[in-house]
Amino acid sequence: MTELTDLSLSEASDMIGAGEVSSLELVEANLRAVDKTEPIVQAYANILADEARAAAKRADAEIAAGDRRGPLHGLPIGIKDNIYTKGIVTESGSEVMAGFLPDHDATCVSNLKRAGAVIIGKLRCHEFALGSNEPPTRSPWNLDCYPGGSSIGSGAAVTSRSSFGALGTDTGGSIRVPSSINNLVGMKASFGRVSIYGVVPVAWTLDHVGPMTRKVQDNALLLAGMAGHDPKDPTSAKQPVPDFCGELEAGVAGLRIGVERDYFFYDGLQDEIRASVEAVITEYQQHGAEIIEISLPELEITQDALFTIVLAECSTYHRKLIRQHSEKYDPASRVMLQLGELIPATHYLAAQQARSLYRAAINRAFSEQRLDAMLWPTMPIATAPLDQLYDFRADGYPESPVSSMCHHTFNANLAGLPALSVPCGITGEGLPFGFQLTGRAFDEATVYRIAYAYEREHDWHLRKAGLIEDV
Amino acid sequence: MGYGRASSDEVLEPGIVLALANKMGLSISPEDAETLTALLMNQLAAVDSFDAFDLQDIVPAPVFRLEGKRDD
Repeated sequence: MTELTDLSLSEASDMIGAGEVSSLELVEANLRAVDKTEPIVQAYANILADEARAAAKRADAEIAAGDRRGPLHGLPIGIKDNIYTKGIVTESGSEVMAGFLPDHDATCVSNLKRAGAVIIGKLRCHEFALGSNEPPTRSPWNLDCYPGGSSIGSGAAVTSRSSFGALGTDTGGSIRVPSSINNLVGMKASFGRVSIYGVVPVAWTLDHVGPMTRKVQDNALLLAGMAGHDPKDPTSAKQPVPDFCGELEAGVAGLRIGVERDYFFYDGLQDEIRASVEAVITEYQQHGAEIIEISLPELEITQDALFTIVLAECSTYHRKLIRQHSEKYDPASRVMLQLGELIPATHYLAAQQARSLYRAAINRAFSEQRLDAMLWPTMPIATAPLDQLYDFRADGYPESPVSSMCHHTFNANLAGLPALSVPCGITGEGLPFGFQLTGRAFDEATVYRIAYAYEREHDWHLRKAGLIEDV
Repeated sequence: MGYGRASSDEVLEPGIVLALANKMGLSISPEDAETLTALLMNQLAAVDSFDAFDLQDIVPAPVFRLEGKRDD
């Protein structure tokens, strides 16, 4: 494996800025990684080698002429395949959309192109990001274990070094879960921070687009390139995009971090993860943060509320499609979409009431306790064998791995608050996991600051999967 | 996703679910109806967990904006 692919996105950006590497060299390095890892990992739905080379040459010419657009100019990025890319097949992991050629880019993609990013390929996802089927994508950390979804290819590509960063989407955890499993940093920003125009919907009131990278600074750079108000998206917020990297080095002294234990540190939390996240908390305390124990009993309704909303909203989006193309859906997706149509309207609205209740409760906790962030594990387990996802967990805890994986992530989608997964350990079986920081609305900068204070003291983000070391 | 309960011992007959789904224009087989019925039984119980809280006076906002209200 060439050393160029071991550069983080921000390091590669610095080298482009210094004239030490070209965009084309980075693209070629990624494409060599694709050749080596794709036969096993299968992260890509569509590799855009020619397009990426052409875009890289244009970027190099512009940069050479003194017209560098910013830190993302010339950097190869992968895009989840449920995000529209003009003139490039976008299938959202489904036969229903086979061969679909969007006539426009999603706003997040056009923003990245404007910033000079190079699109290197479209990345596999669960069918319509519903997380109910299993494309052949594998995590190089363990080929027999679930690599995380629904941004399954985004996680696998970045950890495989075949992309410097990737876009994922997150309706209930689909950025943070594969990030935790693949030893990556994954951000679900505030609802409305990144436009969802041109993204195939799962659930309009819960959908987010966000960056998946190897380092915190990379993530902040990529989010800045995607974010901003979009009049084409009715859920888009009229918020200025700050410099998310501006306070990265400021440390955590004086910050107040909330920790809720009844729900997030429950009996289903695996011991290795519990110990590591407790160590993270202790370390923040040692660096001057104040740890505030909080209570949020409303968390108990987040699973039922989110799932009810997702089912009702995604079934509404698919109401016509499923009648026209029923046979083209994966059976697992189809039955969930049919289920959503049978949910009473009163149940959907009750779930939205429950969501409002939870949202008020967590915002009240932030306000009354003057918190800068909250911290808990990203997931209570690292991952699970692919053939055991729907059984009770192998450790005997009476919950399926699939249920466990979203136990800690649904709440941030309901509240719309920024939530970041940060690598913080690797189990004895060699499986990475992370902790999760949730911030105040539109205060991603503080979340990145707290995350970076941990990352700079550790080398988890530098660890590579054995498969990648070997190829 | 791992829903694992039903709210009562009342049994929902797959035939009823099949008829309802067909009436709504959904294409499902009798075998699908069995799966769908089991899922629906559990899903209909989801709202039971909300009863631990008083939601009556909460006005739901299906599409909401955060719009910088840091403390709302």
